[in-house]
Amino acid sequence: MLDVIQGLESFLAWPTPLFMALGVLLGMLFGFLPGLGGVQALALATPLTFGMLPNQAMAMLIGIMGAVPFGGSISAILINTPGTPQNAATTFDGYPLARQGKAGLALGASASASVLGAIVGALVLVALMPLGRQIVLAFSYPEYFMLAVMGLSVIAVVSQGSMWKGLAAGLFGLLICMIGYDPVTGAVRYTFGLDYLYDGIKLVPALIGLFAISEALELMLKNKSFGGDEKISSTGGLGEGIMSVFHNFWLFLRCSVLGFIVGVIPGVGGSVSNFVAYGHAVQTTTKNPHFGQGDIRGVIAPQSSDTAKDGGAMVPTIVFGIPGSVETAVLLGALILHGLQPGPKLMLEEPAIVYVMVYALVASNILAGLLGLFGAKYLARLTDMPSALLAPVIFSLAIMGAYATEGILGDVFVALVFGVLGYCMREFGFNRVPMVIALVLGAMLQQTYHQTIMSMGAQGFFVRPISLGLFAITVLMLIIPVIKNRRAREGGIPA
Amino acid sequence: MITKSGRLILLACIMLSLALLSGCSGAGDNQGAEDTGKKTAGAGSVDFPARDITFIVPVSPGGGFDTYARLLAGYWPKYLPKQVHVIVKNVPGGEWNVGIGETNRAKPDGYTVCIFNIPANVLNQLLGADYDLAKMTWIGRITDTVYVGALSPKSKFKTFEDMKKGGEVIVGTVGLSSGAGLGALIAFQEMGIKAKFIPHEGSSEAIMAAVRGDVDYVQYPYPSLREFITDSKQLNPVVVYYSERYGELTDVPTIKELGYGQLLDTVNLEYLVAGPPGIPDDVAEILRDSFQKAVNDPEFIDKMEKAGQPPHPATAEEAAQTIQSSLKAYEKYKELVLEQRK
Amino acid sequence: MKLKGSGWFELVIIAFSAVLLVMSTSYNEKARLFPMILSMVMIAVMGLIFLQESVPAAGRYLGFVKESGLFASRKPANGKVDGEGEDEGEQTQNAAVRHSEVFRLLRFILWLLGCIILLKFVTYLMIMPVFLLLFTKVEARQSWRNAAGVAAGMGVFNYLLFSVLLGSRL
Repeated sequence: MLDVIQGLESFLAWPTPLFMALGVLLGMLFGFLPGLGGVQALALATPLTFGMLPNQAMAMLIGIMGAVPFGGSISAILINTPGTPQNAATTFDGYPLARQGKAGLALGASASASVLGAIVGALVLVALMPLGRQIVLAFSYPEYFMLAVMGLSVIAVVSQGSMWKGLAAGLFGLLICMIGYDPVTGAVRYTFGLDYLYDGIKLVPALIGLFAISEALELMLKNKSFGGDEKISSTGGLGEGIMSVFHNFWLFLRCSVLGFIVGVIPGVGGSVSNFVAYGHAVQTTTKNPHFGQGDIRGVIAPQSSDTAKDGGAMVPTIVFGIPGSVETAVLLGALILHGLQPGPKLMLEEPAIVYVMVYALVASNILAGLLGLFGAKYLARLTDMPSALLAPVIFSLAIMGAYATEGILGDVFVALVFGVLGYCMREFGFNRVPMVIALVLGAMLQQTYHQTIMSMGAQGFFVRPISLGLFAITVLMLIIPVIKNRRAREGGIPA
Repeated sequence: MITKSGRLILLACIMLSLALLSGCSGAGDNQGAEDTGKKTAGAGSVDFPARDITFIVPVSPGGGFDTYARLLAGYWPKYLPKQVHVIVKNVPGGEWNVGIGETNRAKPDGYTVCIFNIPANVLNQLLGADYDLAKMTWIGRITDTVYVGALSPKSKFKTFEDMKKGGEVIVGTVGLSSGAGLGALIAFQEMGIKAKFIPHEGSSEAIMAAVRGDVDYVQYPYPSLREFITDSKQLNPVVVYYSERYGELTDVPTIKELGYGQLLDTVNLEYLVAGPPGIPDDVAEILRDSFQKAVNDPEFIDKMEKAGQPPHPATAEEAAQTIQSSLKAYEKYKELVLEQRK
Repeated sequence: MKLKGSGWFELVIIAFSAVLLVMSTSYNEKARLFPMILSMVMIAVMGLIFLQESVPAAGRYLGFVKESGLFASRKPANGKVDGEGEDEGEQTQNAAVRHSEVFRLLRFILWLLGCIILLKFVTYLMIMPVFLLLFTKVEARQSWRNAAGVAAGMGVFNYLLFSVLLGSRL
């Protein structure tokens, strides 16, 4: 109990809150700009923290991390371009809302979903911390494999359009994961002699390409314009938006928990959680669903899971030093640089700093939400910009984003390739979502499969309770809706 | 048509202007750096360093190599004839090959140095990298570190003897072409213990597997295992690869005591620093000299100890020798490794 | 051969998968398992899709390929769904438009490639504004004033954010 209070004191000790605020500004900026995201912001801000005390450094970095999801939702809603890959699902309903003149509604919902989602994530994190070790240890190769399978089966849920094309997209994503050196099978695959490919296709540049560059290509080639669309600039309805989360409280809560869980899985983060949450919302909404046409629940679901996932990602990061998401991977580096070794030692010797991080996680979202809401009107003016100008800017940001992460030009090239690929996929009816999920989960799927077979044999998947349970859930997840559909069709009710 | 004397005069003019130019630029550069007045012997004639030095770290930020390099970079300037900055540049990729490659191609003027992971980089070279460690301009060793072998508390083996007696030991590694992995492979072969190796994505994952009990045994440098051995009892140390009982691990038998002292040649990890091949002797001497002073700086030692690794430095000659003997020692394992790689 | 754009795309992917399949045979047992299976299934799936779309004779039997996902929601109004390409009727009409679109796409790719290559030699602080200025003027067909504004704005932004605030060395 004392630690909680001590943590609060440390957090409020000036100038720590100032650093957090700076982080929030940075996070919102990077989140908002397509092509730049949390990873870049964290990577670039880490050297800045060298001279700071650990508390201040963490406050700033978490400030960044917490503000990114909401910042990204702003551009998702206003200009139909996700600010970061984890806001992709927010465009599905956020932008339609904006076109109906309800941008304020969407922004308000996003703000409160983000803040409340962060709070849920933080509460669950604090509650589970003592058990964190047990939880992470309970998951071994078969369990991770089943998790990957479950994640991939979500593809079936969120696939819009032809299922076969969605399947193809997912397969392609999995194949891409096979590129590079794989320690588990000990082989170097598909590098075509290039040193750069030795490390495989990195997720961040690929996502920048798939979402930002392909978007800009779309803008250029289709000459779309949002400029002059009066409706989008209106930002009334903020209050109503904020309250909408409470009207849909259970959905919000479920999505937050879902986001937290996805965050706990090492290496799986926002890019998957927002789709999983959206899919869940689609699956479980019975009252007047109009997803894809401005259903506010389509904004609440992904945003709340995005911020809750940050809380979840902290679990493996702090307890074992294994990053829960791409952002926490960078955070981990910063932790170590400041002499904070993740692990049981951290919880025992410096619990206060863990609480500082938790407070920063919540506070950053509150601050970001406030800033966003007050600035909504001005931000909405952005939509007046002709798309012809917007596209070059997005190209430029995307290039900078891919380049700034590690300073490697190969990354920018990968982004370009995936940008063209993403554009082609959209043109020809292939959904990008399955590919994203596959890119994130592919490596885990393959490695844990081989590891299970090597150490436990094929039975390993089915004799262990958690693994078996996950398998059962996956099967149910896929079968139940099919049964429902059949019944509905037989009953003469349109599916 | 220039006469012979004309050509001589022209030549003289060119040489004179070149000399003037270099003199001028030298003076210009000096304006940026402080003169501490501390000149090492033999450095009187060469003007080094005249600008910041780049310290390449071929891995991403965070982690042992990056941390120690940054610590060193903080103290090195103190002992250079002019206090320029030593700036760490992370060049990750290709498992050290990209960063080392960049170092190898850099101008050998003393303004680029790099940290090396021995014997892992030796392995890289044997597997076909395009640099030659033996040719690098070795500057010194920051420290070596001690390998520790630990058993999972969930394993049916409790001591080293148990492992030797029989049954298959399941070992967690990051692939057998990694330094630690190969070390474990060699060690188990020498000791005649039957082992099955389960590969993982990284050392953290392999160690976690041992904590969970999915594998019996892991073998890693002490700093990686410390939190699991001393801070909490999540793993049980059973052997330490050192010539005598090490630090806090007073109860843990050494590899020598167990009768396999020869493994000390292959199961080790050294943090060496070098510049590209062909750095002129006088510049190299400045670097070596200042390096030795920096790694023996009491504040540096203190910070390293706090980071969990009390430094055990060595000179440039010793470093070069290590490279030679490592290359030789691992040559015979090349086949073994290539086999695993395929 | 009169193929829809999507037909070409699918063929390219099939070819790529075939290459991956062939290459996978040279890897060790464990390493080839996933790549082999994945590429084989990929060729099969893409093959079916290709046949259904571009070979009318086969298309009749392969109607199931066009089926929506198990839980497809209704078509979203913002046209953002990656699920809907153009249907047959519109296709032939826009054939001419498509052609120029492909060329424009290729040009954009070249612009971006050029930018990337130049970044290798010159700092991003100079390349990005130049790229923006030229690209906005030429491809986005904006006035010099607009282009210069964007270029200058981004240039200053890049400088302030990356160099000054974040002190990064790119």
